[in-house]
Amino acid sequence: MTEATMGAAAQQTTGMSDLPPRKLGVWLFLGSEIVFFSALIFTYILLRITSPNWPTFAQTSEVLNIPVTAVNTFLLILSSVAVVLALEAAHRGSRRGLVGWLTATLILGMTFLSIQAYEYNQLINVEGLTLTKTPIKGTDPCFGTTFFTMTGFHGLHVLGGVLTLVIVLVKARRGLYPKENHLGVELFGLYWHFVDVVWIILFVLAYLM
Amino acid sequence: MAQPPKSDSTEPTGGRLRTYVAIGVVLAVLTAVEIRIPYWFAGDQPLIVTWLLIGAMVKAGFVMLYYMHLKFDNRVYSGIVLLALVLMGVFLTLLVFATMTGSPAV
Repeated sequence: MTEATMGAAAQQTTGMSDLPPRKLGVWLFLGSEIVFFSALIFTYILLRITSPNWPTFAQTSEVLNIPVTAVNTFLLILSSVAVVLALEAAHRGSRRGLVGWLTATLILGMTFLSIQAYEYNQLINVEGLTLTKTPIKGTDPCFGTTFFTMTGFHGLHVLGGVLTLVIVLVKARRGLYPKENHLGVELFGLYWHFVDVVWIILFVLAYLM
Repeated sequence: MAQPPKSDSTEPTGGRLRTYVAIGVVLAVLTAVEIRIPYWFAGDQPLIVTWLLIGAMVKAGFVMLYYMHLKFDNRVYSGIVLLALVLMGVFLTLLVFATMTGSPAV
């Protein structure tokens, strides 16, 4: 069977001939990530609304460093802008622009992780907020559990994104993403934007409510 | 031989760049407003929750529709997102039901 015949047979079976398989695969993966993070978030919401002594915003704002986290949120948003500008550079065939914007994304991503690591250190060693206890007297210790679980898993996803970005950046510097085929950059961008979307929701739930 | 992926949009490059940067500015401004909401409406938790959730959904929508190109791309990708959200809606409903009635997990 020739390659053309096999291609035609595949199109007849799936009916989705316009979809690059790798891109479809990434979107299916992101769909599973939506399920994963939704489960964490819904569990947090349920624990919170059924708890008789969940700490109030006035109480948590004494423990959580909201200004620092707000800066972190701005950095992540900026990194999403950098990624989409990197993709635009790839569209134009500008290797210099692509490498430049991907480098900016890497710096912003690593800064985000560094700030989060600093925040975790402050919360655990200075404030006394851990997975199993909270420094706010008389309040539900599940606050610490849900806080670190949600933000911790998100941080791990950012770390995974940073590690992937290193690979994408190395390939970009070698000129492996020409104007005609830069799907790899787009696929990385999809993951990175998704991580940003998750943080947009987590920041509001874990820090501001 | 596989065809190279098509461009997501036929809009001129300069127009797209301006759109992406403008959306970035909107996201930053919305974040700045969000941070103040718990202080502006202190004591009124339902109002705080409402405005914060609206803000988060608007921001998430901008990122998914424009940065992730869901607005311009094949509808199959949007379908995957919707399917995942529907699945989670079912999960949440079962979870709430089990919690409120004291029933064992389904």
